[in-house]
Amino acid sequence: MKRTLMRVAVPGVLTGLLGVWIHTDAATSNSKIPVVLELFTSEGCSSCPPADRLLQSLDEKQPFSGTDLVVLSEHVDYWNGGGWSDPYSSRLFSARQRMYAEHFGLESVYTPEVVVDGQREAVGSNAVEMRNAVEASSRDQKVGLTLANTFRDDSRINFHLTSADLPGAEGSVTVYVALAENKVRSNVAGGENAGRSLAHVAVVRALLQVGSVKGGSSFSKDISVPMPSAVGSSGFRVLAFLQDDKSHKIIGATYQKIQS
Amino acid sequence: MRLFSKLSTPAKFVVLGAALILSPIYPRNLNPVQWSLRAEQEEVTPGSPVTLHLHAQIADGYHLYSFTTPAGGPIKTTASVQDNLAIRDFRIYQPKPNRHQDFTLNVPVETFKRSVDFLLSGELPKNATLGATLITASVRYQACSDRICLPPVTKIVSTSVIVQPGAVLARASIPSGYYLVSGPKLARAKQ
Repeated sequence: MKRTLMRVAVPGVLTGLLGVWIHTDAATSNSKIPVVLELFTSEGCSSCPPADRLLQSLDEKQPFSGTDLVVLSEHVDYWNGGGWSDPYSSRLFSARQRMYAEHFGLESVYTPEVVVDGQREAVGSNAVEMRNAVEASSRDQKVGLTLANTFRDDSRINFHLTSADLPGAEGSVTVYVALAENKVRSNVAGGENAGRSLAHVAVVRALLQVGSVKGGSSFSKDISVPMPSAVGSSGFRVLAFLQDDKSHKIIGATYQKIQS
Repeated sequence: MRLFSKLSTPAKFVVLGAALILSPIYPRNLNPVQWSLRAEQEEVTPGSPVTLHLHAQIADGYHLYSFTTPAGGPIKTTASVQDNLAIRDFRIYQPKPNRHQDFTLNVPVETFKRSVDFLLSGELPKNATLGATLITASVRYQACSDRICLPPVTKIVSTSVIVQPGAVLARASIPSGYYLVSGPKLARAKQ
C-alpha cells in the first residue's frame, strides 16, 4: 500500500505543487523551437502591468530549455479615450485581437490576453496557463526561418528572409514582419494607470505582411521596412513569423535584436 | 463527489494533482454582467409616475463601475431610455457604491459587486395612449476582475407596462440610500 502510494501519489502531488517554471526537453535536440507569445495589452488597462512584467521576465530569462520565446507586446486602442491614448496603441492590434477572439470563439476580447503560436490563449498574467501553452507549442514541428544580412540605412531596416520548405501541398501561410522596441518605459498620463510609470518589452511599432507561401514551397526575399519614429535607446528587434491563413497557427518564427 | 469518494487514495491524489495543473487559476467569464429591466408596477394610470428597476447581476470575482466613479480611471456606467411617447423624463438613481482608493490604479473608484438595482423614475402623461407600452433602455458599462478588464459594452433591455385608467395610482418612491446621478438624457430612437 505504501509503495503504491509513493509511486502514484507523490508524482501526482508534486506535479500540482511545482513552481511556475518547468524546464522541458525540446521536441528536436539540435536547435531551439521558437514559440511566439503575443501579449495584447494597454497602458490604459489596470490589469495589464503584471502581464507586462511577466512577458518581460520571460523574454529576459527564457526559462524553457530548448524553446526560444519570441515575444511581442501589441497595444490595443480600445482603452483610449477621454482625451488620452496609449502612445503605442493601434487599431490594427485591436483588430488582430478580435480576429483571434473570433477564432477561439470568445464572447469578448479582454486585456491582458496572451496568444501562443496563434493556437492557444490565456490571461496574460497567468503564468501557469502560459507555461502549459508554451509546453504544448514546443512539441509542434516548426518551419525553419532565417533573418540574414541585416543592415540599417537611415530610415529603413533591410534584411533577407528565407524559410525552409513548408509541409503539405495545400493551404498557404502569410509571412509577417514586426519591428518592436526592445524596452520602453513611459509615464502614463491618462486611463486607468494614470500617474504610473510602466515598463514594456518588445513593443510592436509596425506589423506588416510581406508575402505569402503555399504549401510545399519556401520563401526567400529581400525585405526593406521603414524604421519606426522616435525609437528609444534600448534599441529594437526585427521579428518574422509564418502564420497559416486558415488555422492562424504560427509554424515558424525568428527574431534579431538590433541596438540603436 | 460521490464518484471521487469511491476512488482509491492514490487515485485521489492523482486526480487532485491533475486538477491543480489543469484548472485555470483565474476566473475568465467574458460576459460577467447580466442586465434586466422590470417595472415596479405592471399596470399604470395616465398621469402617474413609473418606476423601473435596472438590475445588474455580476458574476463572482467581477465588479461593475458606478455611474459616478471619478473621471481619469475606469469607464463609468451610463444608461439612457429610448424615446418613449408614453413615458418621459426618466431620472436614474443608484445606491451607495463601494468607494475606495484603488492602489493599483492610484485613483478613487466606485464599484458594485454581486448585484445592484438601479432605479429609473419617469412620468406617464395624462393623455398617454392606453394599452401595452414597451420601454427600452440601453446601458453602457465596463466590468473588470482582479486579473482582466473587458472593454466597455452596450446592452439593451426592455420591459413593458400596461397603461390603463383605474390602475392603482403609483407613488414615486425612491428608497433611502439611493441618490440621483447626473444624466441620463432621453435618447431619441434611431430612425
